[in-house]
Amino acid sequence: MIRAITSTLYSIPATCTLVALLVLAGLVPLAYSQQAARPDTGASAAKVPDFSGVWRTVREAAVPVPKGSTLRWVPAPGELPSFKPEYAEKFKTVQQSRERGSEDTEPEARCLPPGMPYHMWAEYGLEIVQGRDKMALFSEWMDAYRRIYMDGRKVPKDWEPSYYGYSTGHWEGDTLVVETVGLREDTVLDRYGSPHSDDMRITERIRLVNPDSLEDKFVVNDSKAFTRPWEYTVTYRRAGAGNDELRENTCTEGWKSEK
Amino acid sequence: MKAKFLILVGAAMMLAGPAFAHHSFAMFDFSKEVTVVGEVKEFLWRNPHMHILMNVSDGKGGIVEYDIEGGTPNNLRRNGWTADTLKPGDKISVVMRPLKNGDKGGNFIRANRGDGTPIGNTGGGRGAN
Repeated sequence: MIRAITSTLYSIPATCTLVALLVLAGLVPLAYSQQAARPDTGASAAKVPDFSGVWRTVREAAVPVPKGSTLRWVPAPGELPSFKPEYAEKFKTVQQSRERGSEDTEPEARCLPPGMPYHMWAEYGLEIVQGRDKMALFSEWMDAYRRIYMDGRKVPKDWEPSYYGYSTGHWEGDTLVVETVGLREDTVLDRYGSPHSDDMRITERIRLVNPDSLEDKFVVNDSKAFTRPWEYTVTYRRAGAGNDELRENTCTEGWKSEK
Repeated sequence: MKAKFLILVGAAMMLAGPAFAHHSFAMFDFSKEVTVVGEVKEFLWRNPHMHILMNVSDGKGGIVEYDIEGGTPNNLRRNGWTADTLKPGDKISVVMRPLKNGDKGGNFIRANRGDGTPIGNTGGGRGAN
């Protein structure tokens, strides 16, 4: 018994020395043991939550479509942003166009990227790959990819508006706060084809409600299009075993075979 | 020269026919459900959406072709479908949301084989997750 304890005590310094040597030799990556240690991210040296995994959007049941309408979906009361008159009019035009059967207001029908914030609707699942300085958010729907920089960088001065814009994030406790700017005007906000202006900026607060539930609280600011910021929350549940892989959804494939 | 080119492109698009024009869901009337019974002419298993081309009797001794557009292969696989689920000659009945413009075709909801066996799970349309 005494011999066993003595032997353990002797082995501790030996183990420590081995680890130290491996670290010095670069064989054990420091990042492995110092996750999110960068002070400029706002996180302490303590661990930050890990959002990595495949997530499935939790959806409310669709509201019934009114009699006489041929639309696939209509918004629930309070679901849409509070539009200024000009944009309320634009939305009305979108609805009328869709009632007529036109795909003019559906960029995704032409295989264009959904853009933000529509991307986060993630119809077929969202896969998050989290690094220390960057987070990648893949949506199976349209094979789309969005990234969030978490190393303190700022949006480039010459940024050209894009479908997913430029997203930077920092940790506030267990919540990742993400600012997205530099978005194109010609995208839709949601499956109803809601419009927005080139002034749109998005703040998200993303956190784990529990290990299997992820929450993304949106505040969408658009002073040209909305009378007040548009606030809503998307929740996701962790994908179950056996259904936790994203697949390909190569929208343009059909176009190739049509020629 | 340019005008000639445009005419050729237009002709090619017409030849491609209705089977190749649909990607949007706005073209389907979601207030209606119609059942179509016939024989599979061709099963197009591809993105962005699968298509079932069906030969359907017009009730007057002739055959009309229907183009029924369904979900995406990635999602259909989760609902038990594969590229081999349907073959030319298979007798099926399909419930669909018809095209608003009156063309022969619609948006797939569900289908049975001739003996009444359901094909795949009910999530044949888009949206199962």
